[in-house]
Amino acid sequence: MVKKLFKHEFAAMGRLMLPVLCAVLGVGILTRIILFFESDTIGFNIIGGSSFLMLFVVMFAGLFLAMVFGVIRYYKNLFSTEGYLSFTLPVTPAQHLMVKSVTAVTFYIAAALAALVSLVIALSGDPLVEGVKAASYIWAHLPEEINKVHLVFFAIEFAMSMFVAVFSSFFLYYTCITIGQMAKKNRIMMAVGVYFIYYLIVQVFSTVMSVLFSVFALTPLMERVAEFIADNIYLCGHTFFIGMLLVYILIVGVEFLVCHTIIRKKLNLE
Amino acid sequence: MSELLRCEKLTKCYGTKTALDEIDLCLESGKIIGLLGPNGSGKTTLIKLINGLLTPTSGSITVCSEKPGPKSRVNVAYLPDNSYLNNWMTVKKIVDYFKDFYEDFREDLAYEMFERLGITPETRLKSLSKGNKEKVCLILVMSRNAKLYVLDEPIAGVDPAARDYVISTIINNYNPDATVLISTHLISDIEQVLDEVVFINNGHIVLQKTVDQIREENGKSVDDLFREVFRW
Amino acid sequence: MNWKPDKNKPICPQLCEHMSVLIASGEYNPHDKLPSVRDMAISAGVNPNTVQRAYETLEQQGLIYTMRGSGRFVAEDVSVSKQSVKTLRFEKTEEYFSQMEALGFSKDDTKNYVKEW
Repeated sequence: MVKKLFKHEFAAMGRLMLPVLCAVLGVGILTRIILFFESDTIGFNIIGGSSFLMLFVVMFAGLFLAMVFGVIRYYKNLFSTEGYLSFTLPVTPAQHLMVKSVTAVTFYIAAALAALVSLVIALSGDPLVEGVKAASYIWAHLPEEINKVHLVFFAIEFAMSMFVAVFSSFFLYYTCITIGQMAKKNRIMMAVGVYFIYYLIVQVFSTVMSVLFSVFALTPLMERVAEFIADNIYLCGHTFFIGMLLVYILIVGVEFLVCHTIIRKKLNLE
Repeated sequence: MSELLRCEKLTKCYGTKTALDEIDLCLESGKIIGLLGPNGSGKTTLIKLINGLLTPTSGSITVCSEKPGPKSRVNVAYLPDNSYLNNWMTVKKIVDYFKDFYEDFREDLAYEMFERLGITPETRLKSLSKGNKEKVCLILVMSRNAKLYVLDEPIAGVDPAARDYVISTIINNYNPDATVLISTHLISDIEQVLDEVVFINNGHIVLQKTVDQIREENGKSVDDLFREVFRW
Repeated sequence: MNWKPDKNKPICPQLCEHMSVLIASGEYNPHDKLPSVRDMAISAGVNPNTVQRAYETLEQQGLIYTMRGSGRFVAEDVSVSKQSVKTLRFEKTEEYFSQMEALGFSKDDTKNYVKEW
């Protein structure tokens, strides 16, 4: 059943995203072609510059659309009249949530990769070669004390957190929509309202934490903490990145649970 | 003859409002049953409970010996009263969708019925008229070889010729191991096709009898009895 | 099928009656194959269970018989149906006369009227 859900989910999202991904790659190729004709005349510099601008816009648009399409698909397939079909399939709510989020994240990552590939294509040739040479030079000539193994691990941990963070972004919108659908009228407005409340809470929480931290920073304890971090930079680094990963996993877990419970107990199809 | 639906003291409340109040109901196989009641009587709530779209506040409901959920849905074919179709799909795609999720889906039967309406597999769903869309939904549901068919207002908002089509399709698809539960308020059109009727009002089952019993005992049609029972 | 049953009376007996009439009038001759339950249900616009019960009743009355695997057929001796048609004639005439009486015509008035028809 899950395989079949995936098949149909990919088909539905692919239908929307494939043109976007092609457009992102296309603009990269186009930019490269434009740069091919580069000369030092002002005209070409402007064109070259604008096509790079367009490339950046399209790259981010691709990511933006991946997020938008993923969120709209969740609402439309589960909570509009299509929901009458989706929720009467011999499928559990958990399976629905899993398949939707995994598909949405996959296309989001695809959009990110397309953007990266597009950039590489646009820069291919001399600029890219120069860039790679510079980066390898810096990497090779890092100060002796820096343990490159740890840096690599930091990068891996960071990438993993970002991966889970994408899930948590989608699940955040899913949760807002799922809470919103419980309302009798104006379900979408309710979802937007929930988002604002969440945003507000996050803002208040961050402000409070920042204030507390600034106060803490003025205490003598702060110096000892700073010393400890300086002496154990790798340990603290790993704790930080792995901690971030765990926090994101926790957030996704909570959001998933909220959606799952509401769907099972408080489904409100129009 | 097996029991396809059993509700015991089934209750559903929305806040302070009680939509279904300790309902006891038993539906057996091999019948075409009408669920009749005015708007707000609890028909839709009962149907959603059967399909697992709502959970009971108290009491129990079993569908084909399972609690409503993924297992029971394998045996239930549901036609909701608004179209659940995805407009960008073609007929072929939605048939494939049903085929994928429901093992009992009879593809040949579906295409045969589509052909009689002049609908080809490549037809885009969004190009269909409202009436045809509803017929497509009906065909998809009736092409399932399910045990319990739940049709929510299959003939409301549909022209008289289409109503005849719906009724013939229902009769044609009759299976002694299955039961069709039709929820409607257009009783006179469908009365002749029903074995049994269940009257529901204000969350209570008011009556459950065969059509012939009602006509014999009351000397009037079910439609007339309904108007009498539910007089304002 | 041009059958318009009375909404206020049970369907099954009316269907039996209608079939009886068809048999008595010769629409269906002895040993003719009757439509399947499903086909009859669709053409009459009624529930297949109703048709099933009607066929069973007709069989009990001796008007039809079942051949396992082949279907249902009109019986050889259809005198029963002719009898029920006669009963129907009586009932309908009685109904007609009382309707005419309700309109203010006496029995004799009605008889004369029918003669001249």
